[in-house]
Amino acid sequence: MTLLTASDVGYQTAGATLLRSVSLEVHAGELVAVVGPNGAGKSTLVAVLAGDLEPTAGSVDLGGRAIGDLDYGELADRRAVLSQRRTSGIPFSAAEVVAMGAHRTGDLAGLDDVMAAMDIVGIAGRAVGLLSGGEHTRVELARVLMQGAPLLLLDEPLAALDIAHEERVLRHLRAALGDGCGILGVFHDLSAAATYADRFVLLGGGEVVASGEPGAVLHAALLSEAYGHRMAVHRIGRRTVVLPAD
Amino acid sequence: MMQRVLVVALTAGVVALVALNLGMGAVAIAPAEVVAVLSRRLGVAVGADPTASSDAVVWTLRMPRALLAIVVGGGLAGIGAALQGVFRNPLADPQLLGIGPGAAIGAVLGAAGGGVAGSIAGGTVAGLLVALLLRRLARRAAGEPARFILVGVALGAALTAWVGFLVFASDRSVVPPMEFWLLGSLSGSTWRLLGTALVLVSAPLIVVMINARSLDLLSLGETQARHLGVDVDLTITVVLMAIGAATGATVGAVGVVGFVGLVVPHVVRRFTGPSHRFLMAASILGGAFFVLAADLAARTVLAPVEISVGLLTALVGGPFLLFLLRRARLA
Repeated sequence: MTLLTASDVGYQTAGATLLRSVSLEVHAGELVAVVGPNGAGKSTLVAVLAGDLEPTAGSVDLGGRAIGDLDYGELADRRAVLSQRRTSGIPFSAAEVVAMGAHRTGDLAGLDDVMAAMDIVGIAGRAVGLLSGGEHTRVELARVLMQGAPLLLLDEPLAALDIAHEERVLRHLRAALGDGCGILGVFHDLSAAATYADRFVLLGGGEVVASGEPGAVLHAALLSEAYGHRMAVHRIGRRTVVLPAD
Repeated sequence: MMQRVLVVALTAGVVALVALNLGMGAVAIAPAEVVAVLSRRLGVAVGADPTASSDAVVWTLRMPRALLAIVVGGGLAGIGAALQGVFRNPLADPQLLGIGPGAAIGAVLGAAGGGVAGSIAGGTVAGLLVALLLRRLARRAAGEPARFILVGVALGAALTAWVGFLVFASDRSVVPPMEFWLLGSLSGSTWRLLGTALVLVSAPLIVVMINARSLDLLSLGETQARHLGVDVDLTITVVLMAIGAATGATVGAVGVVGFVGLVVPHVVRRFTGPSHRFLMAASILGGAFFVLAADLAARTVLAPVEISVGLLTALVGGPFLLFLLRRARLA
């Protein structure tokens, strides 16, 4: 089932073209990794796909309906969004914030499981404004998961996470795919994304430079060109590891 | 648990202060005499018949005044709690941000044209408009709490000047003097004024209360609240219009009583936590307590001379704001 279809999406602001002719799909059961250097348009793309920004060209469909025709409630039923920017000073406790994810459905049945999966049970009662960056990210992720939307748009879900929590989060996201979810995530850690993503979309200068299965995108030459730095792609065990080349 | 204790304690405090307000003042009236008046007015005669003057003082002067103190205090404190949520700014206060002074312009014009009823109507409309103006100004200063407050203070100062011009240009026999508008007074309380104020303050407060959960979600950030399905712009506009109207109604009724909306929610929040439903409910009780106490002091401290109630709320509120600013800088 196709959860999201973006066709020839462009986004322009005064004097700058941030996205040009981006087309992609997210299907139920797959994790799509959006990668690319700083300023490639990744966050702008997520904002357009989430309905935060109206594309200046092309169209976005969510679950078969044009995104512009959906009201905020209908959008919330179809997609949940992790923003890259964290709001400071949130006075509510971690548990209260996670429960807010179920604002539309009122279904709190999965609360304990989600909090356990994101390893935030121990900080459930603490005000989110006082948490560390990684803890805050995990609380926001749990809130996003509680929304119960089939499509997850995650802008840097691994931001500020230590390596163990990176793995934990990615494994949980993979498990969520089995329930009919589809995920589009922005990643900077190419090696982590390589292990868990089904497809890659490599952005550069607001355009899709390459897309397809990890093996098709994770090429040293392609990545070196996109990131402006010589890169090497290694195979270690069953993992693909991308490192800067010497 | 803590919330229940707070509600019970505040309710008891409000009842006690109402009793004190009925008995104390330029003329002291004994508790038995107060009970005698109230019981007869409520249809059951308890104790010896009260004198006609006791009846007039307790029932015609002090009772509506005490109840108006509850409406104004509860209203302003509830408004303050909501305003702090809408702007996600702990320093937000309807008077400090200029809504009160702006409402006073409409109230003065209304008073010149239509007496007390005109004053409340004008205050309500002007408060609503200034709240919407504030929303536009707030966008430019978003994320800078102190700067946003300065925008409000500047707006308030300019609007207060216009209040002054209008008062001096008006017929003194119809429009209350400048000190009424700047510092507020409950001395004009009547049952009729109370009834009008009650409707015009509580209706908008109910609108805000209905949006309490949306205000909770707003604390996650506007973008995040939108992602959860909240129509953020609509919510903010509706809540601000309600806040403006309720603030304006209090200003039209009793002038600008400052700091209630700042002090009370801050104190109450320590017990209720951040959830706006509890916070607003407890703030309403706390504000009623605060203004009842301030008005009791206003009537008795220099009796028989009565001082402005806003002087007493500022006496507490000014230092409290300094304390908040000091803590905000350290944080």
